[in-house]
Amino acid sequence: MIARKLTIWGALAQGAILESIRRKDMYVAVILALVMIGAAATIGTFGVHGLEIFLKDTALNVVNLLSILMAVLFSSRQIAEEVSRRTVYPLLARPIGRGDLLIGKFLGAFALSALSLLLFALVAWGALACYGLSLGVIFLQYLLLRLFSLALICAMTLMLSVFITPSATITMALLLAVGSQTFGRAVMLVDQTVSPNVQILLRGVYVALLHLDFFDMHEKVSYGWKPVPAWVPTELFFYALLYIGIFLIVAFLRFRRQAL
Amino acid sequence: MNKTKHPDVNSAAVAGGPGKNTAKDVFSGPPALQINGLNVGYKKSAFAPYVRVVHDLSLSVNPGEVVGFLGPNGAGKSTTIKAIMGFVVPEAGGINIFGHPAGSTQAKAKIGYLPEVALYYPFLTPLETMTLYGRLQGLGGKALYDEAMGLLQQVGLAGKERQFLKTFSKGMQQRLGIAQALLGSPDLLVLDEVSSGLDPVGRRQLRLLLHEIKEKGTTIFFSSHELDEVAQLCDRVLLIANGQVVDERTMDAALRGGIGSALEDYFIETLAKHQKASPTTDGDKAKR
Repeated sequence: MIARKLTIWGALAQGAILESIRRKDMYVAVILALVMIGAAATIGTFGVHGLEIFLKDTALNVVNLLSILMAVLFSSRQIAEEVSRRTVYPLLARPIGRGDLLIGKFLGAFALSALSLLLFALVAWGALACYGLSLGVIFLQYLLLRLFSLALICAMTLMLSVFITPSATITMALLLAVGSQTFGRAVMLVDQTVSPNVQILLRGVYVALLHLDFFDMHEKVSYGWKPVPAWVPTELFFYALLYIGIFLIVAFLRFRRQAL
Repeated sequence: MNKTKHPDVNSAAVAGGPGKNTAKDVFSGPPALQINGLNVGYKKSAFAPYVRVVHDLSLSVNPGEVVGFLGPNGAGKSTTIKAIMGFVVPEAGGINIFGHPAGSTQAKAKIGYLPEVALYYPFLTPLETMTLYGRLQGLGGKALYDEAMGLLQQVGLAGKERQFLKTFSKGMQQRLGIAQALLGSPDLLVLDEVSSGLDPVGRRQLRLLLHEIKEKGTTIFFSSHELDEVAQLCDRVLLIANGQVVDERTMDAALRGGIGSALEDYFIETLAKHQKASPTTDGDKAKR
C-alpha cells in the first residue's frame, strides 16, 4: 500500500519536474540571480572596504526573493494547468485519488523549488567566494530552513490554486509569503504601545499567522553568527509539517468534489 | 434505458431479437456499466443559476458489449461520461462499473478512458507520457516499456516515441490518447469522440484496433458523431437528447428499423420524433 502510494506520488512528481525543467523557467531565474548578485558585488571593485556584510546580505536576499518567486510560480500552475489543459482527465482516469494528485504535485513543486534554491545558493556562494568572502557553517542551516519554508509556500500556493484563478493565486501567495513576515515584525513593534485588549487580539493573530520569518536566518549568516542549536531546526520542521498538513487537507477538501 | 421508456424503444430489438443471444442473456455477473437515475448539473459561477444537463438517465452495458452513445451536440454525452469517470459529482443517481462505484480506484482500475479533447504534456515524449500513465496504473519495468512501445506502434506512432508532444498535431495526440486508454488492458473502454481529429488512415487503423479489442471481449462504450464507424463496430446504440436516453436498440434493428437503411436516418428521424413528442424539453437544459 505504502509502496504503491510512493510510486504514484513519485511518478506525478517526476512528470512535473521533467516538464518544468524543459520549459527552462529556472534558467532565467538563475541568470537573474547572477546579474543581481554580480551587480551588488561590483561595488567592492571600486575599493569600498567593509562591505562584506552588505554583499552577503544582498546575495542572500536575492536568494530568498527568487526562491520564493520560483516556489509560487511552480506550485500555482501544478493543478490549474492540469485542469485548463485537460491533462487532468487521463491522469485522474487512473486508479489514483485526487488526494494522490495533490500530494504528487506538491512533491514535484517542492523538488523544483529546492533545486532552484540550491542553484541560487550556488550562484551566491560562488559570487561571494570570488571576493574572498565565506558564509560559514551557519549557511547550511540557513539552506535547511529555507527548504522548510519553501515547502510551506508550495503547500500554501497549491491550496490557493484550487480556490482561485492562477493569476490571483500568484498575487495572493506572494502577498502572504512576503506580507506575513512584515506583519509579524509590525506586531512585535507595536505590541507595547497598544491597549491590553488590542494587544490580546494582535497576539492571537500573531500566534495563528504563518511565520515564514521564523525560517529566515539570512541576517545571522551575514553577520557571521555561530550555528543555532539543533532543536531550533527540529522544532521548525514540525511547525512547517503542521502547516503543510493543514494546507494540503484544506486543498483536498475543496478539490475532492470539484467538477472538472 | 430510461425509466420512462420512449414509445420508439424497440424492446425486442434491445433484447437482441428472436433467436439471438446477446451478452445480456448469457452473462450473470455485474454489468460492466450500470447507471441508475443519474442527474448531473452545474453552475457556471457561484451566483449563476443551476443548469441540469443530465436528467434521470439510466442505462446498462453488459460485459463484452460494444455500445455507441449517440446524440446531438449538447445532449449530455460528455457530461454523462465525465460522471462515469468520477470527474463530476452527480446531483442524484448511482453509477457502478463492474459493481464498483464510479470514481473509486477499483472502478478506475478497470477502465481505459479517452477524453473528448485529448491534450497531453507538451514537454514530454509519447514514451514518457505512457510511462507516467503506466506507473499510475500500477505497471512498471520492462513489461510497461514493452506494452507502451507496442501500443504506440499499434496506433501509428512508431518512430515518434521520443519526440516532444508540442510538435504533435491534433490527430497524433488523439492517437496517443487511444494508446494511453489501452494501457493495462482495461475491461471497459470509455471513449469520448473517439475519432475526433483523425485522418482517414488513422480512422481505419482505429477501427481495426477496436475490432481487435472487441474480439478479445473488452466492453466498449463510446460516443461518436461518425455514424459509419458506429455502424461497423457497435452491438447496440443508445440515443440521448436533452440529457435523457430517448431510444436504444441493437445495431441490426437500428439499421433496419423500418426507418431507413442507414444509421444516419435512424439518428435524425428518432431525434425528430422525440422533439415532436416532447416539445417542452426543447432548448438545452431545464433550470432549477
